[in-house]
Amino acid sequence: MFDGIYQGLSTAFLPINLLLVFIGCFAGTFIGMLPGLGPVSAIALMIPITYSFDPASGMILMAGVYYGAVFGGSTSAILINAPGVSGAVATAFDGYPLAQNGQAGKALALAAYASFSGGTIGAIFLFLLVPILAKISLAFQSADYFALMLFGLTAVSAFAGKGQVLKAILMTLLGLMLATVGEDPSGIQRFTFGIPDLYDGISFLLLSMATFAIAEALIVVLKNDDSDLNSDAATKNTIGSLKLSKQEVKNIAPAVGRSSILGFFIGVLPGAGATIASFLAYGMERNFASIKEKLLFGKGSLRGLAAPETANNAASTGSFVPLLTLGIPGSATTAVMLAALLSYGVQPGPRLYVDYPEVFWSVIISMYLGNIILLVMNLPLIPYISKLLDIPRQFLTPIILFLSLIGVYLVSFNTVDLIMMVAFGVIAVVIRILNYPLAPLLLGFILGGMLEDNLRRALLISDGSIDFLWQRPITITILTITLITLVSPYILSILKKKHVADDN
Amino acid sequence: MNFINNKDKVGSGLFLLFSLAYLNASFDIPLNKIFGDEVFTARTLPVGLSIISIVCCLIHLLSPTHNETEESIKDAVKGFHWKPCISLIGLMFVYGLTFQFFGFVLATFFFLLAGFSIMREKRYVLSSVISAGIVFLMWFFLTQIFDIYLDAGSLYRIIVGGD
Repeated sequence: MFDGIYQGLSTAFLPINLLLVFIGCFAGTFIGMLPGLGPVSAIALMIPITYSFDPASGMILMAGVYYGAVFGGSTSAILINAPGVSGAVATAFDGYPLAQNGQAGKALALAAYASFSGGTIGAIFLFLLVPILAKISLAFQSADYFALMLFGLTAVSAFAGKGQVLKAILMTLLGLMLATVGEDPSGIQRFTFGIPDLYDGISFLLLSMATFAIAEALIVVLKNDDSDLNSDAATKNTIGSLKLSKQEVKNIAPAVGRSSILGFFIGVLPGAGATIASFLAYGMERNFASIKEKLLFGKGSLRGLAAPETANNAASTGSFVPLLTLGIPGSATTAVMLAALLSYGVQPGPRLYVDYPEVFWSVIISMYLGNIILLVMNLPLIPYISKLLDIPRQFLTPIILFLSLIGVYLVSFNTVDLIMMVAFGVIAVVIRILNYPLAPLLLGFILGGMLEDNLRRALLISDGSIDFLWQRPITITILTITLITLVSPYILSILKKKHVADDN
Repeated sequence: MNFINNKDKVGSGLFLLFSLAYLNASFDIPLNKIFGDEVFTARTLPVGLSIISIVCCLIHLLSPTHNETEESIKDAVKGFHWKPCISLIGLMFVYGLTFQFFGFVLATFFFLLAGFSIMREKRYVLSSVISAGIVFLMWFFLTQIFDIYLDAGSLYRIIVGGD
């Protein structure tokens, strides 16, 4: 393990890799601030650029972009009440009122400190937990992997929220169906309809950019959500002081500690991610607050800002655990990371720890370096970075669309991909209007191939029998957890209804 | 609420149709004749997925409506600005279709210029300068720094000659 850490440290501290973390954080912050471009799009845009890099350097750049984009999303949430990422929605609850009160600088500085603290505690947990889990997961077989993937897919649906569970399952199924397009492992064409461009299947990058970047930009145009941008010009110009008093730091420190731990472990759960972590942390701090403090929540509470901001960064770190140890992405962002690793010929999972220790450890170390760089770089740059939000929407939207299109073109150099991307973007807009979640679609798509491979292998080993589902304790344990995860929202809903009926 | 106008139900209705079509197409997937009776064929997962999704769609369609979470399509699209959105979609299609002919530089320049115009930017000189600037920056970074090949376009080859 120490050899691996040493290799990781020497890789991460190479001048070129340090420069890449710096560039990644910087570019990520800018991209994350732009409405319509979140971490998924930011990382996806980096894939064509990092093709010629070695895997460690490519992943280091992407980790920097990831953290930068998460921070950038929070910046736009605080300054213009437009969270660049869903994980920053809870940040806007108290961050935006603070900005309106002339304390934008303090809110942004607090967001940076909270992100750093969440990232630091998350990185410590990651450092301790990942090698242990990676060793345990070496004992996993095809049946266990199949069960784990089922768990990942159902967890996404179970965490989707009230009235969304079945819709999330449908979207997961759609993702799995799209993953079957192209040549199957035995060389048989499926759903290609004789179109050569479909023989290799649908590109993950194409689908992720279409469903996230293009659909989001088009939805913004449809809703014409630029009222906030214009009315908040004054807010951006009066950033105010960046300093926090000793009393304020003392007041928010316990909230940061609690939210880091909560955020990390929520992030580890496949499908839960930064959004749920930030909302849970916000709710938890509100419950811990005194009656007087509680009244401040939603009106500019520093604790209300620190908690979700800490939790979403800790959860972002936590979401790397299933990716690095099991090769299963827990969120749409780590799904893009998985696609990037696969494009380098690196298969994430327990073997990554053994076969590519320099990639494994350098990514973990770089993620922490990214946190430090974000804090050092972004604090003094906040007043300047915020100017980016002054770019008028009439220029921004076509530029975002162009960047998304060219990002996909640069991977395949095939203009048919551009047409397909627009078509998927239109379908994604319809799905968004119908209020169906898109993240499960992406996870279903990325896990589809692996799920089929493991199911095929498990069935072949068990000679076509489905006994493999209950032959091994690991498999049956994971499947039981999957079932509980899937059924629990319904049981909780029934219990709640019964409780309300009893009260009445 | 009118069933047809309930956006959740419309979504699952559309997905049911898609699943039925997917199931139908799944039976067209050829089987590997070399291995005979395989336990897992190229059809296994698609057929399984379509059956599960048909069941899920039917459950969703037949389950009672939750008024607190479901709204009508009419309400959901109220106040939407369709014209610029549809124009941008059309513009992206045109960009994809004409990219090879015009090449990166010209196609992107016109795409951005038209995009700004669709977004109601009337300062055409400024729009042209911004479009040209972005095209130049992207071309410079991609070709000169990252050494990525960008197609000059058929039009360029017709005018200048060469492959």
